Amino acid sequence: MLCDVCHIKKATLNYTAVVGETSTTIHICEECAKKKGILPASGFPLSGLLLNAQNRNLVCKRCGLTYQEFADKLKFGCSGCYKVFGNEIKPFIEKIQESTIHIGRFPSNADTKGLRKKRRIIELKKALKKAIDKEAYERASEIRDKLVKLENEV
Amino acid sequence: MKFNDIIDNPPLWLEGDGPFNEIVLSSIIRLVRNLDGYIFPTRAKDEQLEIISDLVKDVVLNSPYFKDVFLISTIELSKSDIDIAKERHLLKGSRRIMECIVTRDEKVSVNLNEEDHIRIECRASGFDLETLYSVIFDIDDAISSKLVYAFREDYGYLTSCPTNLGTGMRLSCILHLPGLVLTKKINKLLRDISSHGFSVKGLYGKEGEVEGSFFKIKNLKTLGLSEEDIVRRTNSEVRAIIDLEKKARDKLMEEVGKSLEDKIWRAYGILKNARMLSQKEFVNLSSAVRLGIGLGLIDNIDLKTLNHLLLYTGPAHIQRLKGSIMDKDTRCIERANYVRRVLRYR
Ligand SMILES: [Zn+2]
Repeated sequence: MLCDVCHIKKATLNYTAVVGETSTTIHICEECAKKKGILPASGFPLSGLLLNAQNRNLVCKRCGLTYQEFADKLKFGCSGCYKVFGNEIKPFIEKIQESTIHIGRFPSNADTKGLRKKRRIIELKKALKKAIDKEAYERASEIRDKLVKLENEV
Repeated sequence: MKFNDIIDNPPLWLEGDGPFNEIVLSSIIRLVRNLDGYIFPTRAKDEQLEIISDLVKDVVLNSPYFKDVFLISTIELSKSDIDIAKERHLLKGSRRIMECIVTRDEKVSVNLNEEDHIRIECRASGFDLETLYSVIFDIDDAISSKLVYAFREDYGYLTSCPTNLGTGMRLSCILHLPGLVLTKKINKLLRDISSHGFSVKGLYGKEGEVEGSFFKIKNLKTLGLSEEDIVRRTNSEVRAIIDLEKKARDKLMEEVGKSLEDKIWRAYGILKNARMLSQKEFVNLSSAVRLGIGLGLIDNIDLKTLNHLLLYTGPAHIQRLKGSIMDKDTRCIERANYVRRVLRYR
């Protein structure tokens, strides 16, 4: 059976996501499931994907959550867990969210100077690409100057 | 205010009005937040939960949106009242110590110590995510001006479950899609919606079943998109579904109009006369009548009444009518009595 999403690859995962009056199963290839952030329902050994010999013994000192427990339940115990398990969870977060960068609002009292600058850099990079695509080279060089200045500050 | 004052009055978000009210029952926005420096509720000790609760209550109860509120606490409510609160979507999960600050009209609530420290929720009748959007961020700003949220530049607002990271924002709409179900277009549509980054589930019925053609759609991704983007995407996804549902209803009227009308009036007849009604049967019959209202085939009853019935015929609410725990058959009898009583005056 072909993948319901791309209609090209062979479907290897069955995802009973939603049901009409008759039940519906989505057949999806691994790549699309990853792209769409669709996690197959129960029975999918997610913890198996997360655990390896190096991270098995990591523990968050603040809340006591072990990495093994996280891999089983997929719930964090405190904000400190994100620091302790940082490198191990990044691919997982990317898998379920298709992103690892927050571009939304931030708390009014957060220390956001650095954040604002980083956002500005992302915006300028987009603008730069657009200018180059349009062959507006003068505009592009202006943007490039601003970027260099900002990047030096960060 | 007492808990009974909450239960006796139907929530304002079930008024049956608002944009596209013939297809969209209600719109909901939820924000998930945690306080910096405190362990998440699932691993916190009771004393810590109490501190968190006091901190948040102090801010929320002094904000202008929460002038006329009730504080629900799982410690103080009886088991049956907790079930009622759950049926009204005011509590979720089975944690021992949870609280919910809810306004009298039930349009705004702040939940404390569920899976996360804070869950803010705003609800409206019909399809109206934009109004909710401005209200919920007023409340969020009020809290974050006094308390420090757990936040990181890369992952945004930190949450207990990684599926809420980033914006921590979840938009949902409750949709009534009988046209798409009856024309058998629903399964393909559900697949399409899922592939666009949304989840759709039947609102009633066990896992794998859908009763009454009621669906709840919500955004899946919370990280890597701005709040405005999420609102825009959800709006256009729901708009597209509304258009498809309208087309499907037109097609039904054109092709099987008379038998549809017959089906709808029969459903109304059963509701008015039945002596026993299971919740499942009520949901399905009221769905047919609801379609009849949307198509202009029946005007003996309005959407508001149907919405209220939908809530007040839930098992916990029915049980409350008699104030005692009932077996299933007794509930079915009480439910039918209640529905007949309400419909008699229409
Ligand atoms: Zn931790």
